[in-house]
Amino acid sequence: MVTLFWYVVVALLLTGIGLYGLLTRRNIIRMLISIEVIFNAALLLLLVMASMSAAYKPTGVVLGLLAISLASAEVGVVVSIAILMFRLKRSLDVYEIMESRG
Amino acid sequence: MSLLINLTTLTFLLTAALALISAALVVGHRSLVYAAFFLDILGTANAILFALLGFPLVAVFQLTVYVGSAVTFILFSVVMLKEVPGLTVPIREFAIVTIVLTVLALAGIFYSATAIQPVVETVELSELASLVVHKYWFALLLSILSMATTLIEAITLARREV
Repeated sequence: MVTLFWYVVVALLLTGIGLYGLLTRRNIIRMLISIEVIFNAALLLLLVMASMSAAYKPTGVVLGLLAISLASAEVGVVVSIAILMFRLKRSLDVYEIMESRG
Repeated sequence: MSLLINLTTLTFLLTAALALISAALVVGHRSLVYAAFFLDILGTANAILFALLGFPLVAVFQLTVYVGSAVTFILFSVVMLKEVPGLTVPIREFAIVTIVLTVLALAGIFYSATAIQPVVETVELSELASLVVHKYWFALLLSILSMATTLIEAITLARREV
């Protein structure tokens, strides 16, 4: 049977990939998608921790469900902001949006 | 029994590889549409990993709510926007140092969990419902409010009131 070590390794690699995308991209949608990769890694780590003991499992399930619903809401808000920004500034580049504010 | 164990290990290996390749393509693919599509694949692979850890309810929720609505919402929104060239910030060295430090810090935090076998027994739904209503009611309320806010925001944008 696979130990939790390998799940932690997958989650850490996902975190690294997501961080790379977040730090090196300028497109607001690309940054959101990279944050979603980090969210997936964090959720995997949460469930790895919850599966360490039978006592943690119910709490892990509840927190996992709440995290997924909040992440979905966050996606809706950020994509809506991106669409609005694109409508107003005709760009998705965060640097351009920052320069043209005010 | 040994066939089952081998099947579980094989499923884990394939799913982990799928998740990592999808994540790399999410970050690296030029087209935003394909990046959103690979995020869908990553969400699905993650759902399989949740099921392997003994969380079938979270896996189904991930597939229906996260992959089925949130990531598909990104995909459709990206299709509506003009495809822009992928601009890269020239801080690759800084990014790599940050990633290495973050991964090492997380590995240190989660080191204690590494030798343990996952507990795969399922949780009773009545116990979950009781936990949500009695212990995590505020988080549930917050979650409902955030969902409602998102819905109102989406309707406002769709009607072009802003």
